[in-house]
Amino acid sequence: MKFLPYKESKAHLIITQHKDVKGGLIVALRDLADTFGYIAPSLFDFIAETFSVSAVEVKGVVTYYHDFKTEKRATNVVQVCMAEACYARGSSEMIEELKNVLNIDIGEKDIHETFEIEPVYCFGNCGTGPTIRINERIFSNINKDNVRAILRNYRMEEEENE
Amino acid sequence: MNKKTDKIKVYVPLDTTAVSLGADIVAKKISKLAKENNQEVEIIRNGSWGMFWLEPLVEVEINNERIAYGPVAPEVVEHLFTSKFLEGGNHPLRLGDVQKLPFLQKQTRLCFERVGKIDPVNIEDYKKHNGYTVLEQTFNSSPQHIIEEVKEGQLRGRGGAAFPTWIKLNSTLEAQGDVKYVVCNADEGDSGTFSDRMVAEGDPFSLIEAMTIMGKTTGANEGYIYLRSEYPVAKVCLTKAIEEARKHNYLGKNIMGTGFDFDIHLRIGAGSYVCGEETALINSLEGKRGIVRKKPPLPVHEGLFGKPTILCNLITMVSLLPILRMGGKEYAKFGYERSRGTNPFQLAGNVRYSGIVEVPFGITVQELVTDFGGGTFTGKPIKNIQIGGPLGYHMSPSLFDMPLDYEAFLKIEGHIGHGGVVVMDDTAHLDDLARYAFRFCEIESCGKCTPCRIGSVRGREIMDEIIAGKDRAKNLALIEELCETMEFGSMCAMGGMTPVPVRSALKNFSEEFYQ
Repeated sequence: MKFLPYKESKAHLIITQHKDVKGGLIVALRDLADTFGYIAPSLFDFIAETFSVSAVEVKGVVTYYHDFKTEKRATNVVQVCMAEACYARGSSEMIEELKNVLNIDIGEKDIHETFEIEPVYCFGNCGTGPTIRINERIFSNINKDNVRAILRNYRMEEEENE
Repeated sequence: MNKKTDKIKVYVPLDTTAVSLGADIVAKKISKLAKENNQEVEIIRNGSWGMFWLEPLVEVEINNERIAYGPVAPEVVEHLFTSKFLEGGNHPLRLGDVQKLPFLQKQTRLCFERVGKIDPVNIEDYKKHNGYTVLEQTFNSSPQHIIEEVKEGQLRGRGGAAFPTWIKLNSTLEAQGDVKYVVCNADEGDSGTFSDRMVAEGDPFSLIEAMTIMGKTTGANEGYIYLRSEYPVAKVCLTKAIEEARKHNYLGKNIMGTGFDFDIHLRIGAGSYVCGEETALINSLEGKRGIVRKKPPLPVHEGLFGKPTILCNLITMVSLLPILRMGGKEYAKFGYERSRGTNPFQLAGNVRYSGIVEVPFGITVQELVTDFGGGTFTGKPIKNIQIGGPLGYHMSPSLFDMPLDYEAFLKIEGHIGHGGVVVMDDTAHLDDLARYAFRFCEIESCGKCTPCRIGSVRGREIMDEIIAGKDRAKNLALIEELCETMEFGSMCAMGGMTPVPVRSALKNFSEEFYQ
């Protein structure tokens, strides 16, 4: 028997768990993305074997969906709404400021992989935008003047909780 | 009276918007401060009443009456305690009975009957508020009778296509198949819409009940809810509600001893706007790329896993409950021309009083944004209103007296879509928005049809040139041509309706493109 590193064995467990689910491939991918933040391409062969499809098909499904990333995520993912309802409440200026504060562009990670900005098209929080979500927490009424403070407070609160 | 009933019930919404404004922190603070004051509270996390300017909206139940305070930012909780709000004390934020507020009084809440009112994941509370009465009724009537009521209610798909729901029910019932499915489309991707989310968060049992009724009517024993991944709170509420329903034998084998089996699976999307299109959604549920399929075969004949499938939007499904309770004829008394019944319109964007407005069809855009919305949030004049999400029509003020009616919007080559109303003030640039329409299509196109896949990129590039002031006349003519190609050359609404925002911006705000 071959021993796998912990992370990989955990991933294999997740994949196998959905083997008999109807349409289980996407359920497994969702589960992997939720657990690790991304789906390592090294898993494609195992996924393919589990669901009796080719590795290319797995790759096709993974790359189709915006939520499925194939690279490790930054420690903090800042999702920002790019859609019209937030635009109507001034998101353009806020997004520019957010990029300045973190010194990265939309879709990028900083060199320390501490922050990453992910574009999102609507959180369904359209009456109180602009909206951002930092990891699990969602924030309303973000503007160019408060975005810096929101990020700073978030980091401070997280450190307090640690 | 025992100690348990002495607990003061405090409602703090779990709704995404309420949480984004601090509701979780408010709930924690209330628990903590109550403990310090030796007051026993039971915190109930309800859905939102859909008045976002008042969120977090906290309600205290005193002698079976609920007294509301809002907006309760985390910073003001201490102050509320000083004002003895747990006893209904006076405070500048005290609103009294929520249901007496004009914003709610003016509405006809049928789909949103219970949202805000009940504990969303408590099945007993659901049953106390008319829950599961319609399902019981269904077991005593025939599928034909149910379909007849829906037909008389003239219910049309609320996801945007406005297709008569009774035809789908009837076709699925008549379709041959050993296995059939009920699929709920809760992939609410349109910007400016949140009604699916609010029902999923605030009244998930209503969806479960409606899907069970649809299963009973069409002969399906299995249901799927396809929920978008951007809605984590809805996921939690639906998961919990499905578990509760199973526990109480409202899902599973032999439901309520009737011999009917029905169960529901919750599936979470993975970030794809096109998956809101029914055939792409089916592909995604099957574990494939969410690419549009050609029709026919229609999903009612060959849908999920190749079996007959009734696939409807979440609001369409929960609309069955009021229709079957009051009867199709009564329900169809609400509405306008061929748009019957009520629809939860979603007031979003730059609007002072944003939220859910469930009213009969036929209300004008002006009434919606002025009488309910109170104008813009910034206080500036309204420049344009986009109705129906990213593929929706940009209206200039001269069109605001139009009624919200499916056919009226078709006449101007627009649509109501899922009922999203995004208000913008004079800082909005329509050339930016026309560019955005192409850009959004570029990002979200599934790639199946060339006009959509390539046209969106070309459209965005041409718009960039127009915005930069390059060859405007020539480029605008190109845009017109491109729109025609996309409209007629795309299989689904993604490419086919991207021209709607582009053309309406060009038509109603031409000065912005030619100056």
